[in-house]
Amino acid sequence: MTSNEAEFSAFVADRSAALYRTAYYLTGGDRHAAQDLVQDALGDAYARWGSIRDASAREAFVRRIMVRTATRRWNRRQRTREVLTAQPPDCLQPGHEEATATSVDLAQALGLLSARQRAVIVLRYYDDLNETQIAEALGCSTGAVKTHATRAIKALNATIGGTTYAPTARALEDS
Amino acid sequence: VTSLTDQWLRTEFQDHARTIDPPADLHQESMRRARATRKRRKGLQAGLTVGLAAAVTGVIVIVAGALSPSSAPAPAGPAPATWTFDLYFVDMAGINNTQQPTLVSEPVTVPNTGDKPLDIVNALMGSVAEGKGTNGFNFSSEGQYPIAKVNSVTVDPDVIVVDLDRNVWDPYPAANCLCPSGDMVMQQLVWTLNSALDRTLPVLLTINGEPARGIWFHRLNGPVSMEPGVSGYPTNASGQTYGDLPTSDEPLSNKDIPDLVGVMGNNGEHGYITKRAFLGGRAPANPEQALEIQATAEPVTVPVYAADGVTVIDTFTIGSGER
Repeated sequence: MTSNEAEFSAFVADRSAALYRTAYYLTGGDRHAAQDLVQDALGDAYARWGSIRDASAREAFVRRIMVRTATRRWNRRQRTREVLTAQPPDCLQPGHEEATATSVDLAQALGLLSARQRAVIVLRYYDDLNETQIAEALGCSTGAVKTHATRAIKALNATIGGTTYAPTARALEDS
Repeated sequence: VTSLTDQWLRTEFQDHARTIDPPADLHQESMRRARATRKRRKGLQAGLTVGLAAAVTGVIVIVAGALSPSSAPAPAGPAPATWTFDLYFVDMAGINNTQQPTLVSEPVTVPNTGDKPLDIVNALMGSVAEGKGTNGFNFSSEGQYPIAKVNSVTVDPDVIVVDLDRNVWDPYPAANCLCPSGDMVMQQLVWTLNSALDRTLPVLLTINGEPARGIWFHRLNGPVSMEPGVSGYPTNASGQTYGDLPTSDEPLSNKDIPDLVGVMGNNGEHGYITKRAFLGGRAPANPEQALEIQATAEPVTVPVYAADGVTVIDTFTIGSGER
């Protein structure tokens, strides 16, 4: 095993679980898509592992690949999922009404956001990145990050505030 | 929960993450796939090396030159004979079964003329609506493609400038024609260029050196970036919101349309038309009705207002949907 491969293997052992959870949220709670996403991102990163000299930048590099890949894939998926009405709909995402009529958890609520809105929320509140770091991961300006965050919070408020959403802590206590 | 706070979200993520168990074989499978990816790319590199060797003999260069619509000279140094990248289209496949349009991509391989940015835009301009994607740059009743030819593509540190020889969207079609979603058409160009060049630069569209006035009601006042173009509209004294429609890789919702929609008028004045005029005042109930409207509608000229929504400063002609 080369030093590069050893370093990469150690990185995967140490960080893959955390990256998987990020991927899980980025894919709106789809476990199979999350596994594909994190493994594809690690594969891409491994192909360029030697060129990333700053070890501390490696996780950010993998995360950036994940975020951009997730956004592209989500937008492609929407092609077969979204619904057009005679007049443009008031909500951006399909299935909103159906989802709000039943109980949703955090991942499902995230799944109702657009890909970029979801990425901003996940990176900000789960990965605890600041706006500059999120903008770097998404490849956009900090102003756009603020816009996405504002819209996402508004949408989450509408979803979570208007449903039988149960905070996870209560579910954990019940289990 | 009626109002989310930063602390509530962070706590909720921490709690929820405890319920997510990664697959048991995640490490092993990630390593296996990573090795496979690297092996595949090394194989691709080896293939390219063989191709480059052939290029040195001149064979590939001659073939590429013969196939290329451009007269650009062949690259002096070793370079791949072809480029492969993603072209972005507006997917209108769902228009007949009530789905929203979506930005989608398709891989394409084109001859390398030595000017990759130019090759990229030429490929986009030369692509006709096929399969699932519709090309907003080649949406015409003329049936002759490409509608516009590419004069040049310049990649500067802060902006990519694309210069066409013709305004593809003049005269403007009717708002209710079955044209590609206007908010996404400019993003076809932005996403195609940035994806292929691995950049995140805004794109300025010009027509023979002059900034393009807009794409189907989407006024272009400058370079367009990949991010949504607006985060809220100002309100005039009458309480009307006004502003340019954003370009986006996601469909606009009704809420994204201001009361006064920014356009450049027939005489070049920057102003606004009403939302009703923008929507055509006669949204079709079904695709058949839309086609009928599209075939029979006459061009309509509507006033262009200043931001106050009262002062008329120009006119704007909404076409019939035919070029």
